[in-house]
Order: sequence, then C-alpha cells, then structure tokens
Amino acid sequence: MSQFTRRGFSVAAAVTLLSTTSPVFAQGSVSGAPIKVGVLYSSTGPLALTGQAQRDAYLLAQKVVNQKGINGRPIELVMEDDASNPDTAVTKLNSLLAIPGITAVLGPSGLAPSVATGGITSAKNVPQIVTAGIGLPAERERKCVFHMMPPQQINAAGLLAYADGVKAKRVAVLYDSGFGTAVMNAVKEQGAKYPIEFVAAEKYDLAATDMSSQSAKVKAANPDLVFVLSASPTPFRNLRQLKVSAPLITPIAAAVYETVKAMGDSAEDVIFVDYLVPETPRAREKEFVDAFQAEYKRLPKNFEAAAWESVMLLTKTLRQVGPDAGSDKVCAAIRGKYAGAHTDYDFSQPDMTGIRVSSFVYSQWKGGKFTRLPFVAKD
Amino acid sequence: MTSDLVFQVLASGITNGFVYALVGLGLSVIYRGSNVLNAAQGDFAIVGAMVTVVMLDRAKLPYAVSCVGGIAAGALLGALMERLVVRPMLRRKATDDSMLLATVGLGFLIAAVILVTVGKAPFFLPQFGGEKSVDLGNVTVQRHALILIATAVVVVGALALFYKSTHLGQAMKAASIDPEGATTIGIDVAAMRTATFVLGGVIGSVAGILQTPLIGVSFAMGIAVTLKGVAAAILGGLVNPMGAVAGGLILGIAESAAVLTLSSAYQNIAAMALLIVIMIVMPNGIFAGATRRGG
Repeated sequence: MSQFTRRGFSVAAAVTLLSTTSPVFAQGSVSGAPIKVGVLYSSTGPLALTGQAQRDAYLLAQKVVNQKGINGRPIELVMEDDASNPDTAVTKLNSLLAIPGITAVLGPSGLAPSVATGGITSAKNVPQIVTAGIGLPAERERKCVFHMMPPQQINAAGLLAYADGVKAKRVAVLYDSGFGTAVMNAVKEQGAKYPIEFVAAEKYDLAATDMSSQSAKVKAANPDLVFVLSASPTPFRNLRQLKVSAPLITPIAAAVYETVKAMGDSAEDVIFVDYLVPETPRAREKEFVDAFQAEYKRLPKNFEAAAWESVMLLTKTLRQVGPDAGSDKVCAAIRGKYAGAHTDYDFSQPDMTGIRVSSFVYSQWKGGKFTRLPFVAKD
Repeated sequence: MTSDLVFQVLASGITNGFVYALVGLGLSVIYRGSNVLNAAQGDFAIVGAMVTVVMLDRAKLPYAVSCVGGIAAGALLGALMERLVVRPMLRRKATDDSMLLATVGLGFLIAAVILVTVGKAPFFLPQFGGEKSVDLGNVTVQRHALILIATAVVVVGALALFYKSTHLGQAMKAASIDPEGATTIGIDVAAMRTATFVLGGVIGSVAGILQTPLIGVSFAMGIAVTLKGVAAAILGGLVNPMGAVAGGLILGIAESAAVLTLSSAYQNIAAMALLIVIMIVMPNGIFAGATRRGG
C-alpha cells in the first residue's frame, strides 16, 4: 500500500470514527461553537416508555432550533440514559457536568431521578429543566430547577374538579405505589373541599402484575366515577373485565398511545386529564404536532410535548440573554411567565411550574383516538 | 363484605395462584434436575409471551402457530442457558451462589435484549375463548381464566406422568438423584440436564403465554414474575414440583385474602409474611420430602 493510500485510509477511518462517536447534532445554516446542553432521559428501565418518547422530541427540537440557531450558533444536545435509576442519573449528570461548556441540563424523565439530580445542579448553580412534576417539598428550594409537568396537587385538582363538575358523589380510586400514591396523597389533601365521598381507595404495588382483587373491591363499592392513578394498562382492563360500568378517569401518566392501545377495548370512553389532543391541535400546538408527525409518522403526546417545550424554553432564554450569559442570568430569565406550545407556565411560582388547573384539557378515547371534551376546570 | 366480593376476590386469587404455580413449577423442575435456582425463570415466561406477540402481531401468523413458536422459544432459551452458561460454570466448579448470580445477570440481559428488539410498550395477547366472561351469580370470571386454570392442571398432570411413565422422564430423575449411578447405566447426565432446562423453559413460556392475555407483558416484568415463582416454589418445597403448585395457590389466595380482609396496600406484605412464617416453621417447604441434590 502506498504512503498516500495509507494516509488517505487513515484519514477516512478517523473521519468515520469521529462521526460515529461524537455527539449528534443537526446543523442547518448555523455555524460557530455549538452550545452544549446536557440531557438526561430514561432510554432503558421502567421509565423507557416515557424516556424514549422524549428522546424523539428532544432530537426534533434540536433539529428545528438549528435551522436558525441561537444567535447564529447551533445547539448540541449531549444525551445520556439514566436507566430510570436515581443513582445512575446522578452518575450520568456528573459526567455531563464534567464536559466543558455545558450550559444547562434538560431532564430527567422520572420523579426519583429528578429529585436526585436537582440537588446537584442546584448546588452547582446549573440551570435544569426537568420533564417531570415537582416531587418533594424540598424541591421548591431549588430555584434554578424548573418543571415542565404539573405537581401532583394540580393533577389531583384536575380529577376532583371533573368529579365535581359531573356531579359524581361516590368516587373510588385505584392507584399504584409509585406515581399513583403521589397523586392519591394530593387527592386526600384536597378531597374535603369537594362534595365527594370516597367509597373505595385500593392500592397495588408498582411491580404487581395483576390488580383484579383490588378491582373487585372497587366494583363492590358501586362508585359513580373511578379515578385510576396508574401508568399501566392493566388496571383499566381488570376493571372492565369485572364489568365495572362507572366512567374511568385518569391523569397524564396513562395518556400515552402505546398504553392506551394496550388497554384494548377497555380504553373506550376512558377520560384523560392532560394537555395535548394532537388529533385536534390548537393553533399554538400545530407547529409542534405537524413537525413531529412529519418526522416520525406518528402523533406526539404529553411527554413528547414536555421535552420539546424544555428545549424551546431554553432556546428562547438563551436568545434573550445570550448563550454565554452565565447561570444566574439564565435562571433569572427563565423565572417568569412562558407561553408554551401546549400550556402556559409561570416559573416564578413556588412549585417552579405555575401550571393552573384551568390549563388541563379533558379528552376521551373514542373509536381509536382522543376526542376533546368541552369540560374546563376552574382555577 | 359481601359473599359476592369474597368469591370474586377468591376467583382472582386462584387464577393468580395458578400463574405463580406454573412459574414455580418450572423453577422447581430446574432446581430438582440441576440444583440451579434459576432467577431468570420469569424471563422464560416473558420471552415465550413476547415471541408469541411478535409472531402474531408482526408476522401475522395464526394464534396457535404463534403459541407453539413462543413455547419453542422458551425451550431454546432453556437449552442455551444450560449449554452456554450452566455447563461451563459447572465444569469450573462454580458455587451455588455464583450460579444464582449468573442467572440474575441473565435475567437483566434478557430484559435489555427484549427492550432493544421488541420495544418498550406493553402488549396483550387475545384471550383464549374470546373476550368473554362467565357469570357465576354476581361473580365474573373471564373465560380465559378458566382455560388458564384447566391448562395449568393439564400441565401439572402431564409433568407427573412424564416423570413416572416415560423413559426420558425417568432418566432425568435418575440423573438428578445419582449422577454417577446414572452414568454407569449409560445415561448422559449432561444431556439430561439440558433436557431439564428445556422443560423449565417450556413450562415458563406456557405460563407467560397464559398470563399475557390477562396482565400483559413488557420487557421489565421478568423479575416480578420470577419473585412470585420463587415464593411459590419455596413455599411448596423447592425440590418438589407438585409442592410448587400448592405453594402458588397458597400465595395467590393469601394475597387476595390480604386485600379483602386488611387493606389492599398489605397485599404483598401479608403474602410475604406468610412465606417467612412457613419458612421458619417448615424450612424445606410444606411438601418437601428429603432434600435431593441434582446433577
């Protein structure tokens, strides 16, 4: 092999190696040093259903932002999988923060990793935009950790407002030991404000594979309405298989197309309290919904929207204060009102979210799609 | 608490109990035949179910053919586990603890492979006999649940007959009781151990296919299924496959009784507390005879 050919081969090999190992970022007509943003999400583990959906939205948002860039510079998302585990999230966060030039961190996907990583970003004064709701009260002290999903108090208020609105007097609750318990605690706190009697409250373990015994107790209580606080399709199927005829209503965690599809016929007429009904997008949502559908040939839902919003929020902020403004200026700039694509935020509020009950969209699964309901909750 | 509620919850407990029994049965078969506690037994169930889902939903094959494919996948997984992991470790005189850890690791590996190849979504299979239920008074039981129970009984009976009346079954028993003696009479002990794992894989995948129409299947479920199977097997006596069946039923009914009489939050607490009490009083399980070590 001649020296020229050997050198050419080496260069080609180096280019190939670099292009497959360097972080992926789409560069449109922008140039300059990329603005690095760390992203934690759950590509594996129990939260993979959420995390992988968010990954698609993150990559799309990066592509869209880089059509114009931020003050002419591209954004570069450096993505790490936290395996749905708080310890892994902390390890991956530390490795992201060790990368020179990391401007902010987006994610993680789940509550426990968010609580774990928020303590570190807060201590190091790194802006973090979490795609989960606020978990522990202690998180309210973290003034540079912002949340794109509502706190459980708002999720609970959305359910209770609907029950009150449809004059359901006897409400049963079936909830899991994870997300469900967090919402249930908030339901218990606020329930006394409503003329509702809780006729059954049945809990099952997050790792449980069957909750038909609990569903039987719900059936025996003869409720007017059932809150199903779960991200799993199984309790919905159990309830309908036992011929529980009361309407079922569920918050945002189960409003995922794969979960609803897995519910089968049991999904029919289930009411969802969430934000995005992509089958009939509002004007403010259309750009995101159309772009997502064009890119991935499927409709997005809430978790994708939260991930997209987090990138857009950071982009708007960095365009406003400049990409090299520093953490304090970035945090101060975020800490205010923000009109997102699917909901309005107020990050100056104590819950670091500012989402109001009235911003919920109520929809019902009918004939294979989400259908927007006219009900609007009052703040 | 009405009698309808009691019977409804009991029906759930019995259905779940038979699922636990099948998983425990597979675990016990493997343990008796090889002295390996297979922490990936639940993943045999998941693999069997997932292959069935893929063959039915993606390859559009008939349901019966897909089920056979799922069972074959479980059998193959069992054979591969024995040939590629257990046998080399036994040759190197691995301890029981090492063997257990290896099967734990295999469980995680299988879950990761399923996530990458099939995806993150949960899946359900169609119920056998259609999405129909049988009303016994005010108690509703899915037709599939009755078929599940009947199939589990058939599997248990077939297994007993297999060990008692077939040449292969008796050879597997002999190899597990006395490997050296079995070798002297021409039994290939290593092949019998492979057959044991194949049998465990078949039983595991049958459990997975039967439970998936009721509770679904996803990549992360293996460990939860395994734990219930381990509890069932230990309750009944790890070396007695029939004891595992009884253990599964006791566990399923105990869980339902806890939901009914205490609070649903105590479902796992009560069931596991019962397990611990039985283990203290009867350390070898309810139905274990003399402990035998497999080969």
